[in-house]
Amino acid sequence: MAGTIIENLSGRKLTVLVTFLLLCQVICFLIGGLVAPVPANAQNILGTICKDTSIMKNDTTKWYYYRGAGKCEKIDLDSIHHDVSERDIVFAFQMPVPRESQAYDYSRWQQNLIGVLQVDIRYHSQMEMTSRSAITIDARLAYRNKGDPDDAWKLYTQSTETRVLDCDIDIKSENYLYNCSAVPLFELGSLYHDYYLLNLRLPVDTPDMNAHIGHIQDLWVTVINQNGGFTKVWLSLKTVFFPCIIAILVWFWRRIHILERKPVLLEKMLLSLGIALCFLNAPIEYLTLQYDLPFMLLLGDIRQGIFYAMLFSFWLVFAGEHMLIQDTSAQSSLKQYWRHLSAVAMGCISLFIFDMCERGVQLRNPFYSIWVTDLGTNLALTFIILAGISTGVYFLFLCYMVWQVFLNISQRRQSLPSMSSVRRLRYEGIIYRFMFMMLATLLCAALTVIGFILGQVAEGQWKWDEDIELEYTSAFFTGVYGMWNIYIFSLLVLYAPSHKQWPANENTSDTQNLSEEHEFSPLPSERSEISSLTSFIRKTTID
Amino acid sequence: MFKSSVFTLLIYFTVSILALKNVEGSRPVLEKTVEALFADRSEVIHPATCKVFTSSTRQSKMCKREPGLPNILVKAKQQAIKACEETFQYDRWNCSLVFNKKPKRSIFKKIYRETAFIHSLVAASITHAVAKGCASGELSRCSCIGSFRNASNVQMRGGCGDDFKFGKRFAKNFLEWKTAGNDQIADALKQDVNIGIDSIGEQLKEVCKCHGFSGSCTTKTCWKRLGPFNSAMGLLKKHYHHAVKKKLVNFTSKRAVTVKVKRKLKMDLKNLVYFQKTPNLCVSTKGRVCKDKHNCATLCCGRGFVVTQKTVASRCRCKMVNCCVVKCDTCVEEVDVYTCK
Repeated sequence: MAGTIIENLSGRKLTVLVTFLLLCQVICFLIGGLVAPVPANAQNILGTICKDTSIMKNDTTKWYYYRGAGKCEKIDLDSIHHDVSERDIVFAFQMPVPRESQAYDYSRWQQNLIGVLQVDIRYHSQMEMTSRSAITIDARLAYRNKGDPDDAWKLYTQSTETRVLDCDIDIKSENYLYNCSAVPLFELGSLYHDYYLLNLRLPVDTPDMNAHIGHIQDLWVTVINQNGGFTKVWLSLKTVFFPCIIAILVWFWRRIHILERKPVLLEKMLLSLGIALCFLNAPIEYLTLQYDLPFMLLLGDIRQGIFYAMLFSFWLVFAGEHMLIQDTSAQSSLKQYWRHLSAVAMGCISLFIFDMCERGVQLRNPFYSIWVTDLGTNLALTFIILAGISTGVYFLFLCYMVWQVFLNISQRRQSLPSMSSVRRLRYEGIIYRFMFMMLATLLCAALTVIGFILGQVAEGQWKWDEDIELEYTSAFFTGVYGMWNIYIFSLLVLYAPSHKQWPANENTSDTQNLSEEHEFSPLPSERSEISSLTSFIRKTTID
Repeated sequence: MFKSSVFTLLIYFTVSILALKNVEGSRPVLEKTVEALFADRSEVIHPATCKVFTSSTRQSKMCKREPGLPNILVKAKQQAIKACEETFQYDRWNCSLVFNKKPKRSIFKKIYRETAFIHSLVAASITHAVAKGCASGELSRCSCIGSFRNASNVQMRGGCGDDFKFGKRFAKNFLEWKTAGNDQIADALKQDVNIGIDSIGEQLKEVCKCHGFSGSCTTKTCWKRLGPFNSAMGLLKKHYHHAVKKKLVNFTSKRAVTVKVKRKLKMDLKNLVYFQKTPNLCVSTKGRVCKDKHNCATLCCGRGFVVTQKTVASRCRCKMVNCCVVKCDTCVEEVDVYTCK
C-alpha cells in the first residue's frame, strides 16, 4: 500500500530536506534585512501658501506651484493684506521635494502614494477651536511628467472633502500650537507619473463652513510611498517563488494522476492552496512599470485575502481528515465541512465588502475615505467586527478539531503495543511525522505573530555589529513571505503520494495479528492508496 | 642708522597689525556667527554672500551652493529674536544686547548666563528653520540622513524624511562647531549649542500611519513631526534658569585647559554652562512694565510699583473670516498698568 512521501521518507532524507528549507528561510530573511531598504518612506511637505490670482476659482486648468518657471506669488499669513480673501489662498504641495540638490522625480518602482494631512492650528485666546471640528478641503491633484514644460500640470483628480480634526492643547498660551491628530487625505494605487502637485483650499461657501477650526498656521502633508529598492527585492522574490511553486504543483498533480484512484479531498485542497499561492506570487507588479494600474492596491488585498482563505480552509480540512469521522463509508467531501468553512467565507466576504467600500471607491476618488463620516465608520466597523467574530469562531473550530485529533492519536497509541513490531514502528513514525507537521504549522504561525509584535515594538533598524545593520521591517516581510512559501512547498512535497511500495501488510504480519488482519479486509479496495495514517485511523475506528 | 630704524618700525607695525588680525581671527566662527545673527536687529542686507551677516569663507561657500539659505537665515534670525523678546518680556533681562543700558557691557563680551542662552537659542532657531526649509522645498540640498543603504538614487533607498537630523547637522556645520576650539570656553559654548539643537529634537512627535493589508497595521510607517518653535523656546527658558556656572581655571591664559577641567565639564552635559555672573540688573528695570503684582515683586527688585489706568484698544470677538485670516473687532477697555518705580 502506498502512502504519502512524508510517511516513507527516511529520517536522514527528512533532515536534509528540512535543513535545506530552513536555509532558504534564513536566506529570505537576510535578503530583506541586508539588501532591501525600509518598505516604505514618509516625506513631510510643508505647504507653501500661494496667492490665487485667477478670477474663476473653479478653473482646474490653473495650478499653483512654487518651483520652476511660472511659480506663484507667495503670501505670508502673518502679514496678510486685507484685499486677500479666503478664495485667494492656496496651499500648494509639490511632490516630491528636492533632495541632495537634484530635483528627483517619482519612479514607477515606488508603486503607490498615500497622503496624510496635518494641520498646525495656533492657539488664540479670542478664538478657541472646538474639539472635533470639521474642516472642509477643496483638494485638487495634478500631475506632470519628465520633459513636460514646468507649467504643464494636468488635472488628476478633484474633490471637496470633509475631515474631522481631533485637537487638544496642553499649555493654553498664545502662539502655542494645538496638538492635532493626522487625518488621511488621499491614497493613490499607482504612482504612474513623475511629479504631482496638490492644491488645497479651505472654502467658506456657507457661513458655518470652516468657521470653527481656529487659526490655521501651516498645513503639512506627509506622503508615504513604497521604496523602489524594496519593490525590487520583493518582486525578485516573487519571480523566484512563482516558477518554483508552479513546478512543484505540476509535479504534485502528475504524481496523483499516475495513481489509479481519484484524488482525495486533502489532495484537492492542497492543489487549490498551491494555486492560491501562485496567484499571490504572480509578479504582475511588473505591469505597473509600463501601464497605469490604480487597482493594484485592491488587487493585492484580494490576492492576499484569497490566499488566507485557502490556507485557513486547508487547515480545517487537514485537521478534519485526520479526525475520527463518523461516516467512514462515504468518501469525504467539502460538504462535510460546510459549517466550519462558512466561518472562513463569512470573514472573507465581510473583509472584501469593507475593502471594496474603501479601496474600491478610492479608484474613483482617491480622496475618499470611509472613516470620515459617522455612517461610514459604523459600516466599516460592522464589517471589521463581523470579520473578527468569524475569525474567532474559526479558531475555536480549529482548536476543537486539533484537540480531537490529538485525543484520537493518543488513544490509538495505547493500542500500539498490541500490534506487530513492524507495523507499530511504522505507525509510530506516521504519528511522529504528523506531529512534526502540526508543529511546523504552529511554528510558522507563532513566528509570524512574534515577528509582527517585535516589529511593532522595535521600530526600524537593528544593529548587531558596527558594520552590519539589519533592516528589521523588511526582513520581517521577506522572512514571513518566504516562510509561507516554503511551508506550502514542503506540504506539496511531503504530502504527495509516494511511489514506494510498502511491503504487503499480510506478509509482515505475524500470527498475533490475525484478528487485526481480518478487520482490514472489509475496507473498500479503492482506498488502498489513501494516506496510510488516515486509513490507520479509520481502521481503528472500526475496532 | 635712520634707514634701519624706519625699517624696524615698519616691521614692528606689520607684525603688530598681523598679530592683531590674528587675535581677531582666532575668535571662533561659532561665537562670531551667533553674535552677528542675534545682535543685528536691523534689516540691513550685507554685501556678503549670506546677506544677513558677514560670513566666513566656509559659510559663504555654503550660501553660494544653496541659494535658498540666506532667506532661511533671515527667518532663523527673526524667529530667534522675536521668541526671545516675547519670552523675556517680563524678566529682568529683557533680551537686550547690553546690560543696564551701558554700551560697554555687551552680553557677548564674556560668557554670561545670557550669552550661553543665546548660543543655544540661535542654534535651535537655525535647526528649526533649516528643517522647515527642507520640508517646504526651499532648500534643495537637504540630504537623506538615516538611510544607510547606498543605492544609486533617492527613489530606490528611501529614508529621506527626517529633516530634523539634517537641520541638526547643518546647524553644527554652519556654526563650524567642530572647529570652534578645544579650550574651556569653546567647550562650554559647544555644549550650549548642543542643548539648543536638542531642545528642537525633544519637540519631535512621532506620527504613524497604517497602510497594510486592507489598511490594517501589518505595514506601518512612522515619521517625526517637527514641533512648533515656541514650545522649544519654553524648554530653552527652563535651561536658562537652570544654567550652571563654571569657574574659568586659569585667568591669565583664559583659554588654557587641563584634563581635570575637561573631565569636570563633561560631567554635566544636560545644562547650559556659563562663566561670568550676570551683573545686577535691578538698576535698569526702572520704568519697566510688569505682567501682574506677582511679577512686579521680582522685576522691580522690591522698589515697588505704580499702578496707572490706561485705556487700551485690544482685539476681541475674533472670527475666522477667511480660512486663514483672523479678523477681530477692536474693543476699548480700561486696564491696570503696573510700572516699576
